[in-house]
Amino acid sequence: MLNPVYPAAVVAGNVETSQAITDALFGALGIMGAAQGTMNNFTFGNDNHQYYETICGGGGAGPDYQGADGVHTNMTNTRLTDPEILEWRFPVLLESFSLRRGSGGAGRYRGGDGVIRKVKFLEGMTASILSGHREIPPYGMAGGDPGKIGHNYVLRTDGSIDELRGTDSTEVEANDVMVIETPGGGGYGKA
Amino acid sequence: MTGNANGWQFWVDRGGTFTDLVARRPDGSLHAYKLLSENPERYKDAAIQGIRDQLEIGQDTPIPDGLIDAVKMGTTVATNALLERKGDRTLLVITEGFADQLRIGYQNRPKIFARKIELPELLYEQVAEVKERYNAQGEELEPVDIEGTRVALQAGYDDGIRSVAICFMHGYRYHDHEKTVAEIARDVGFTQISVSHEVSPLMKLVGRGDTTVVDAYVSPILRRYVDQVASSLGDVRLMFMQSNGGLTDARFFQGKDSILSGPAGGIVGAARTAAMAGYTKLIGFDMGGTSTDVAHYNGEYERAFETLVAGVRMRAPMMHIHTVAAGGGSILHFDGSRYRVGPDSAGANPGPACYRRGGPLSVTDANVMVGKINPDFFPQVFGPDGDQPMDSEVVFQKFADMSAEIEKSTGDKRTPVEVADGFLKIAVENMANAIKQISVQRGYDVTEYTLNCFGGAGGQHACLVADSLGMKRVFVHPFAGVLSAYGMGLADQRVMRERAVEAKMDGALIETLDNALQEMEEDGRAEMERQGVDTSRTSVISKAHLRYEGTDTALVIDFGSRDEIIERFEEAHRQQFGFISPEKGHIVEALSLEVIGEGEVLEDPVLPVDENAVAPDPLATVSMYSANETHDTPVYDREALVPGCKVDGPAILKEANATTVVEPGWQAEVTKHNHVVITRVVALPKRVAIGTQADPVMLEVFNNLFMSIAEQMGGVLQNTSYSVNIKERLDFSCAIFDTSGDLVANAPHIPVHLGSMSESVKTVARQREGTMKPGDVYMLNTPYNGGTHLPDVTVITPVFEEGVDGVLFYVASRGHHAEIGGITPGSVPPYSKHIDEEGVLLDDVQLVAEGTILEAEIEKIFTSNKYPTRNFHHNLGDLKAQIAANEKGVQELHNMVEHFGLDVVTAYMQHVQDNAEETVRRVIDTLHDSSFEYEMDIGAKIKVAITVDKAARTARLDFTGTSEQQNNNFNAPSAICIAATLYVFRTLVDDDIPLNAGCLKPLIS
Repeated sequence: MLNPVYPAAVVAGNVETSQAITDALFGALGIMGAAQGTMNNFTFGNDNHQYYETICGGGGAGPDYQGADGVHTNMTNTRLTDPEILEWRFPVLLESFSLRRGSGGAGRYRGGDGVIRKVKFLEGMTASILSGHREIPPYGMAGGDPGKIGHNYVLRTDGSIDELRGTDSTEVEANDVMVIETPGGGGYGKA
Repeated sequence: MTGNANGWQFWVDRGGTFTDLVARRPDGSLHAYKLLSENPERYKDAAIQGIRDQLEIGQDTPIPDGLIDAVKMGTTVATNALLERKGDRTLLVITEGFADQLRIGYQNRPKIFARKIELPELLYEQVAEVKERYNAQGEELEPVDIEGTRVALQAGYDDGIRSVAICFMHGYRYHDHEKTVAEIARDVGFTQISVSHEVSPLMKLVGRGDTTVVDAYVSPILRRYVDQVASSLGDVRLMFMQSNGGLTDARFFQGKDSILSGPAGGIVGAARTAAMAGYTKLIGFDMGGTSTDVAHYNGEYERAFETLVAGVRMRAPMMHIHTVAAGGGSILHFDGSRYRVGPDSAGANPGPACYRRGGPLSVTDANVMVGKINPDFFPQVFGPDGDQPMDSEVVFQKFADMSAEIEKSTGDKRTPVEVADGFLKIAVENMANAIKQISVQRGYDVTEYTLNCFGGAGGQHACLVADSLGMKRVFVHPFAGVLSAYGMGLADQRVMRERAVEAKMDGALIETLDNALQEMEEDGRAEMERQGVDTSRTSVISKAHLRYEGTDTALVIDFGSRDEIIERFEEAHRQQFGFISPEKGHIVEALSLEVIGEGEVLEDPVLPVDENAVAPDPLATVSMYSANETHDTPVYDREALVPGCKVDGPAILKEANATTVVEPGWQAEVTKHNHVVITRVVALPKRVAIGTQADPVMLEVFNNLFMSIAEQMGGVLQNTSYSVNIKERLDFSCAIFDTSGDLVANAPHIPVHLGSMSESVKTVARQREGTMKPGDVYMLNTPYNGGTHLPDVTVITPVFEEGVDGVLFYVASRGHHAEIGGITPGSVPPYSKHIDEEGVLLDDVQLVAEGTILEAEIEKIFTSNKYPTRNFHHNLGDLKAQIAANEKGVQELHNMVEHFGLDVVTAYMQHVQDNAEETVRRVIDTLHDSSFEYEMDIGAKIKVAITVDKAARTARLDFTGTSEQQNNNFNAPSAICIAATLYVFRTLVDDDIPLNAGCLKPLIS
């Protein structure tokens, strides 16, 4: 997986596996809890619009510090588009963007919290998510608890909820809401 | 407030350490004065005390009415409250769903290699969400929940909070909801109500919200200070300097306009004094104790409309000033192999070693050591009673110790004076690199400029900084020590208005813009009248903020007819970026307008010039070490030099509050205005002779120079690219490589690019060996040969020198193209299983042949794939930007070779790698064997074992046991493994180390 040959597909290697390698190395060094370990690559679009963003999450705690909340960690540091620009350029409404309180792993030092991002679509589109730690939580270190796993789903206009996997794609209608809850960071030390 | 036109005027800059004051007496003469900003035993406020001292009025006597015409002030009161997080308790009121938005900001962390992530401390104490909503087009989706809002505001008020910041989604344009809530806040009783559409009527919730919070947070403190000054002065015209470089009546002074109050006065002072001497192209160079401000001026004040100050995004017009944390107090370090200057500072307390408070060696001490600062000619304000000279003995001793330590670690035999000179060389290069960022990097030829030098430490370095940049003239005003205060006196009154537009420029829009400007002008003039300025003395400047469609960088252009605006825009675009895009539409992002009330018309008096004047006898002759030699150097009393006097370097000019060094090869002349103009009279040698052996001083100089080249390349790429990924999200890297393709310096914004470009460069070097010609450029994105994923396209330019065979170096830039084909738009398909589904594979493709871009061939490749690119036009735009970025790197490397010689540049490319290698080896010394297994959601696992060989000082990274190649897209090319490894080891070093191929040498895989 770490030295692919033609014609292997690689696009998630850059944005996802890179985070996994980093946390594997930090794990071996034993110096901090895992960060959210994903970039939560979120894309949506149709014939007229295409958009791509990565979404922050929790940072890992260390021997004398808490993990940072809602921040990009390790292999990425890309800025997020301002919400007013996002709504000006794309047919979406940002319903909320908030810290996901309590998602960081407990410990002597607490892991950072992830975030919850809710985007309402105003026309039909394809929405995709490429993310990790939806099943396996980011590890805690030295007795600290792991961070909470992330969660992706769509709130349909009829009130139903469509669960999405870590890597998934779905057709959305106007007024459907995509919800992305990003993972928390791992804690450090016993609480 | 009438004032007395024939009375005194006081121009004051209240800084953190000193308050500077220029008094204009009733007879028109000007006098400079300096006192400590804080001296609670003696006085309550330094500005008022300074005025009392000048008027010779006792402590308890009120200042008589009618004596003073006007007081014009700059103050850091609000800036300090912001920096120290000591503003008033503030409640943020924001749209429901966005309570955490300002906290998360744009989600980036300030230091990419810090394991412990420290985000800026928040300014607001509480936040209340309000149910209300407009969409981007101004439709009301939800009205304001009046009752809920009242309850939330009341709760904050009852808790004792009196400052409120109100900021709603799209409130910059649709004001009603913000107005409604402001009204409720008034009812509840808040005393400071900052409303986003009034504070900063520009798009971007985060920047506008931060600015509104700053305004609410610091305005009360500022108001208390202003009121205190006003009440001490009585019936006097009191004005304050705003961040935008204009004065405002004290009653209208707001927190959000006060953050750069002092430095803005400095730029005005620099521009106006140089204009008196006939110089309109300037670099303002204000070097103080802990920081240095540099600014570019070409006949007009430049404003930034989006600035990061103390971790806060300010969206308000401010003088465009670049501040670096380096000054006279920057601490000198020797880290075992190279000299380092800063970034930490000795500050005001303890201050440099020579201040007699046990401080560390700093830049000021280096100047003492080499004889540029002489304790005999420096105010005797040190020691417990504040009456002793600087302590040069401790400086000599500390440099002797350091010299011995350096010899012990490296064998490098250098006298203490040479050691000090080495540190100065680095400090000078750091200053020069800061100036490059605001000049050369924006397309200005700095060699035509005059360096206007002011502030306490500027004069000691000005000639050397000028030499480093190829500048030939340095200007020093007699008030250089108090130039910010002088600038307050010379400034105009200014009222600024901004308005967001965000519309495509077409024939119909002009009328809308005209109407908007008319409203803004009426509004601005009305405020000017309320400030007591006669309308006959006002003028107006209108600007349009214009950008190409699909880009994010707006240029500020003089308003006019549609054709005029576009013509000016294209001229400015070509100047800054080197190209225009006639095929693209124009977006008017915003309008800004300033109403100017003309200030003092003041010219320095013209004095008779004696062409035959000779300098009087020097005060002393001292021994000064500069340019690798010791010189017997005369010290002149600056005030004794009459107009017409010329002094050849080396010489030292002693002034009341500063020291100016005239370096060898330079000549100082006192002009008819009593200005000092220092000119290079002996041409700077084209080439400097330094050896090819690793020298601990030049090691740091080259580290910074290589890095500066990579950063300048990045500047070009960011400015000229099409993709928002590159421009806005900084998803790019630029780097330079040695002849074998090993990384020499890298300016990464995104860790995943770290070190991984080298593999791409080596692929081209190997496959194209012997066939590359000057002017050729290649591109590559293949993940199997050094690429990461397909959108990341690396453009590689080999560097040649005339008369030398073969490729000498490589420069490369990698940028994330927004689209490169594949099964989904944006080229990040979640389900790809074959590389073709991810887009166009470029495996070492020639992009430019001897200067000609192979457009047709490239278009064919990008569009003939199974899943071709959806927008070749954008790809081409980004590729051209990458070619231009590389070209910048090629030019800079040429200049470097011309200056130092090819052998030296080549040698230092290796030395900086060896230096980085050693730094990583020191980390390895602290590690032990370990392993880890990491499971992923996709069912794969990563297994890693780290084995440390303490004797060889290497670490082996073994990923054996990791899952096989996946039938999905989670496969990570080896370049990514390298990047992740380099990143992790870099975070283990708690120091600013160069990132190059040397870092990887001790790591074996």
